[in-house]
Amino acid sequence: MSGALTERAFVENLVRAGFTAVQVRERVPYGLDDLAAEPTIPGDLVSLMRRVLPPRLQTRVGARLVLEAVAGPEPRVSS
Amino acid sequence: MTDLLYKAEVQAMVRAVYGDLDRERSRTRTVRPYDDARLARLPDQTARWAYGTGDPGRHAALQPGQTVLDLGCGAGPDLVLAAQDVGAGGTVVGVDLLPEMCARARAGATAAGVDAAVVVAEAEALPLRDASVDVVLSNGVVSLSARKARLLREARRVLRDGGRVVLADMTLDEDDLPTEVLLHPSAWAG
Repeated sequence: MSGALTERAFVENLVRAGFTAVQVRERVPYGLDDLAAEPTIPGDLVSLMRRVLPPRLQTRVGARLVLEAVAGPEPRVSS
Repeated sequence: MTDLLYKAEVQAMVRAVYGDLDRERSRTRTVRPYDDARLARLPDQTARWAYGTGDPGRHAALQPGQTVLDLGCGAGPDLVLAAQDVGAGGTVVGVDLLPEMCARARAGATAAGVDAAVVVAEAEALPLRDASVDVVLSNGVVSLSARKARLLREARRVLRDGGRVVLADMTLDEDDLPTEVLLHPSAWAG
């Protein structure tokens, strides 16, 4: 969770890395109840998030995305 | 060299969490990224480790003969599915930081009867030639990396011009989680 990006930042990072035509192919929102069922998220972290996340984020922390992008022309180094 | 991004610590947390997963608990997941038909194509030993964020291969429209990189292959569900899709004339390479996951991916490919090369390496320093790959798949890996820009540049470097990357990952609706959450060790691996 700590390393997750916003969707906008994710797309910006792809473009900066040289990708074009970025498309979101799938977007599935998730909330704390979904995180609680994940084997990689320990119960104490979910409990902490229930205590400190504002109510608007309890039911929707973010989304699971599938993004597709095309490798644009590699920048060429001119001499 | 000083590890300003705490890369070693993040990697240690990922290793600890993924090395000690409660696989029974995974049955309670409310989101199942793979549909039943695709799960049925996997050996049981691979399907049990299908913890991905999504199913990038379902969106990749892989073609026979293509070369595919599974970036952060874990125990290999996407690797096996990709190897089935590209067939014997294609090439699939899996890369993962954790040797134990690579061993599971190799065993899964063998059980599925497909060919795939699996290499222990960092996603940010890929042991592949420039422009050698048609499609890069990745599932829940970018958010685990302390060097996301480097990881994505490496994905671009190994792709041919016009190649595609298909990534599944968790995103957040707001820029920052509360500090207490950000500082929780497990939040770097989940």
